[in-house]
Amino acid sequence: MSTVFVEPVRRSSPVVRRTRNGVAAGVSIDRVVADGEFLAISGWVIGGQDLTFTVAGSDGVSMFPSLTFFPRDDVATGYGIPDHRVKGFLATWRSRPRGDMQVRLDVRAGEPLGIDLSTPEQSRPAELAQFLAENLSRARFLFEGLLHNPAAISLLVNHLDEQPALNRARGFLETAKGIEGIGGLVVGWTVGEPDVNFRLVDDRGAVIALSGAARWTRRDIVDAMSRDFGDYTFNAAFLQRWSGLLNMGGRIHLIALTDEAAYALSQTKWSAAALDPVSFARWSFEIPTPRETFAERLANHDGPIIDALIERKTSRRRKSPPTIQEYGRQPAQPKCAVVVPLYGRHDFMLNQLLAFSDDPDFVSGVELIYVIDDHQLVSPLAADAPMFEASFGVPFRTVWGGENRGFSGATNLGVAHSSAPFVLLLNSDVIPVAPGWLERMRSILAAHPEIGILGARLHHPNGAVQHDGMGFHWDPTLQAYLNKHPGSGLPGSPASAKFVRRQAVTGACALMRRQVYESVGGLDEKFLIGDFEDSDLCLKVREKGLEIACLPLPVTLIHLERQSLSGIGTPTFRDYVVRYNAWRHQMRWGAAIAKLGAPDKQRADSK
Amino acid sequence: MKAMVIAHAHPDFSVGGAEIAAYNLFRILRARDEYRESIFLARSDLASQAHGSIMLRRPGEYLWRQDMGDWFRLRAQNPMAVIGALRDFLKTERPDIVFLHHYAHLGVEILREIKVTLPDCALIVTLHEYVAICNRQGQMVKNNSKKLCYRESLEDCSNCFPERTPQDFWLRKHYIQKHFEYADAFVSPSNFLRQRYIEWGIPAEHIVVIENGQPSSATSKTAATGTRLRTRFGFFGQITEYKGVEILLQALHLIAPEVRAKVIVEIHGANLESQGASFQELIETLRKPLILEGTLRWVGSYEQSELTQRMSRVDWVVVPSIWWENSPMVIQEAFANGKPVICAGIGGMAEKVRDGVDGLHFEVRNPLDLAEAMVRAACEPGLWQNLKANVRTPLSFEQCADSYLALVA
Repeated sequence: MSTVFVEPVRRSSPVVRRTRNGVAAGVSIDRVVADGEFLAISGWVIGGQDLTFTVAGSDGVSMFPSLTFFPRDDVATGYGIPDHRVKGFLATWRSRPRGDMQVRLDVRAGEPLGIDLSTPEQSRPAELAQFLAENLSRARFLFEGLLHNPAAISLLVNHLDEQPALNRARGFLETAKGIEGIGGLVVGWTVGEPDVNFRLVDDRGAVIALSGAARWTRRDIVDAMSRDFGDYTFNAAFLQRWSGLLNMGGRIHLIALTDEAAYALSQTKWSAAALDPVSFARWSFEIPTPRETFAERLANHDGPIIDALIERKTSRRRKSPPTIQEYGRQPAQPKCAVVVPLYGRHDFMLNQLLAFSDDPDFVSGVELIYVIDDHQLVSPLAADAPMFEASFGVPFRTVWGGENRGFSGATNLGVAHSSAPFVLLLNSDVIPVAPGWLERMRSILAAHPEIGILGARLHHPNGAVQHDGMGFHWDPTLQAYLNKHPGSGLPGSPASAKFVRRQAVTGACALMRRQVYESVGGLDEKFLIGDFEDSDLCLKVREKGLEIACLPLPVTLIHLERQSLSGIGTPTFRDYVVRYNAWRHQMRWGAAIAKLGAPDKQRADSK
Repeated sequence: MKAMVIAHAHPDFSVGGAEIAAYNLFRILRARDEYRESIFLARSDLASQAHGSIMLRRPGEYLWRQDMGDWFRLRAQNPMAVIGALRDFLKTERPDIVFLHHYAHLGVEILREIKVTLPDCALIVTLHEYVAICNRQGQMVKNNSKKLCYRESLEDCSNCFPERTPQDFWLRKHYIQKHFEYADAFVSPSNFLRQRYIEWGIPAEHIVVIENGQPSSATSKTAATGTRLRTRFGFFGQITEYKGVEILLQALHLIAPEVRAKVIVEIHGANLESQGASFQELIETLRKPLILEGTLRWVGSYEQSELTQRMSRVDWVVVPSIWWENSPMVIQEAFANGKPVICAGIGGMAEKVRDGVDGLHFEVRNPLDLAEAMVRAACEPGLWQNLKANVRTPLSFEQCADSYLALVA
């Protein structure tokens, strides 16, 4: 066996064995490149059968390369031998041993033939570029062989051609928005034959396949591209979550992989996405993937990002104590706390306080707390509150936590700053038209420790039932359970002094023992904007083995809830928010709800 | 017994029917021995008066600086003055009865304040139009189409004011009705108005009808005999888009020239100059040829004291209003002066004027029908004399006051 020592990073002299009939066997190393973890060797063999690379590091571990072969007509011509006797090779290693290493290439060609290499040194950029340029037609091999070598991928991507030959693929990156430490979304489009694979690659060489992207059809792409690509223009647009690290201002590339080659189709820079979860959702929900696959899209793409942003926001809530103002003489030993969040408008207080002023419970014995959940209301309320108290004679407190927290956050804040053994969650747009209801509810709950939450029948202004308990219904479009208000809009069954068990009740008016409220951690603050947190609360209470009930009051509590506009016309942001929350609710409670059975079954089970 | 009459304005500064009725009630009570301590409190908007303060006007008469802060819920502009100056005033004066005329400009909070501060005091509230029911200045006319409105509902009202939801209208109604619950009784000058408030939600047993009083007049009614044709028509009142002067002028144009030649129409009214340009233009176009022709006399505004003299020159009083009206003062004034009335056949007008008995009805907003009524009035021998003979003397101030006092007896 004859071996030739090759100087690092130099083109070697071929080792060729000749016989009487001419060239019998040969091997040559054309190029050795190394860049960090990345190691690649290219060359050719004549008459060889098996190529064996032995990589011996100081730890003695041998690492096998990925190998690809290709024709080398130039070598065949040079030696005057048939084309088929020569093959070029390209070997890449996903990683290579640190420190000193030796590479031995053995070729079985009648007699062994081999070349030893000492530790390759870091290649100069020009050499790397030259190497990649020589092997661009094998870029797909390089790309896939180097998937776990981000530095090499990154290097490769920077050398890829921008336009694929033969119209096999096109693509463009529209935008990439992300948050460092959380991830981002990449939006663009691709068209290509089915066997073309698309990848996103960033500067650091991290790679994500677009096979799981959420896709939709863009009319403009169909119009512009169908002449060349026909039906492949459908579902061209994509949305893809980038879950790894990202650095603002860094680049992200769209790569197309054909049988052999790889092409960089487009690139864009990461830009900063909104940190506020609602603002982020306002942007991302505009990305018009089909509604029927929205839940799947959420699960795979923007959902985890919004989750992380909500988590980030709630974890950064200011820890300073809220601003609390007292109006009127506060009860010393309140029987019940009534917590009312205020958002957007506070004129409901006029009607509520006017109604409460007729109710002895509210004039003394109730701890009434208005939680300001809207910075725009702070000043108007400070101006009006003394007058409200003086006019209506109902003592109350205002609590301002310094920022908007949503229904859940505001309610939790209000409950945390109350002390009564019972807590009523009440919406500001629930207006009583008769007194005495709170004490009735409280005495029922006090007498029934098995009930965790007692809701109330609420009515529309026209006297029809607005809420009489909630039931979970499977929505095949959203692939999630939604909480419905059975009987809403209808006259309702006769009022009764006896409560009825329900699957859930609305948070617009829900009475609980403080201890139960606290044991389940109050309302979940991590739904987007606010939705489903009441059924989430009910399910948490159910998990504790307690029941949910509703008191079928006569027309006593008017709920001025505005009718939702979802379900008609173009989907609104609000509609997508419901879908997000439904998805989140489903992730958590889908299995538990499925066990509850049909709501109708529950309804019959009344007390 | 001590009564406090509260009005949304003082006749010293404003001459609307409601404040005049309130003030006359006060004067009559004060003249009576048993009620001589009675006082009058009128809301004022005098710039010279501190906001929210109550100030003596003359013995027994006070002015309260207040206004509307929120015409939607009918809230006072200065609610602190309700629980401040007004509460103090009530506690100082301690009336046994409060006659509250109107709630507009005062704010509905005053009802609750009176009963909370003086629980034993009787609170009688006189309704003067439909402001509590209708957000469109209480006219019950549709906001854009100006069609007559037959009933309020949360949805209908929201249709008139799309910027307000039905829920907003529920809040409005709840807030107003909740305050209305503090009144012991309501007085309505017309059955029509009473009915509208009953439909809106005031229990029927809580509203009685007492017509506004008129000055007693010895000369009001002289017997008419013979069949001489009476062809002078008069309009008395504000010239606004709701008083229907344009209907009257259009009707005149529709009367055949040979009949019109026998007819004289006098317009006694003010404020045309403060109306919208298109309305002024319409009136100008309609009146010009009639004035030239000699049919129409555009007399203009008048002082209340001149009314009897001015009315004496006409035979018929025409009330062509295009909205419901409550109990138009002009009808009572016409009757006090012995004049049959030709009016639109709706609302308070139709109630006060009996068609074919003491006046004639025509289809509201229909100039052709008014023209026919006027032709009949001018050309049918004996008609005027018959109708005039049936005109009833209106309720006097004294009688009106007696009816009010009967409510609290």
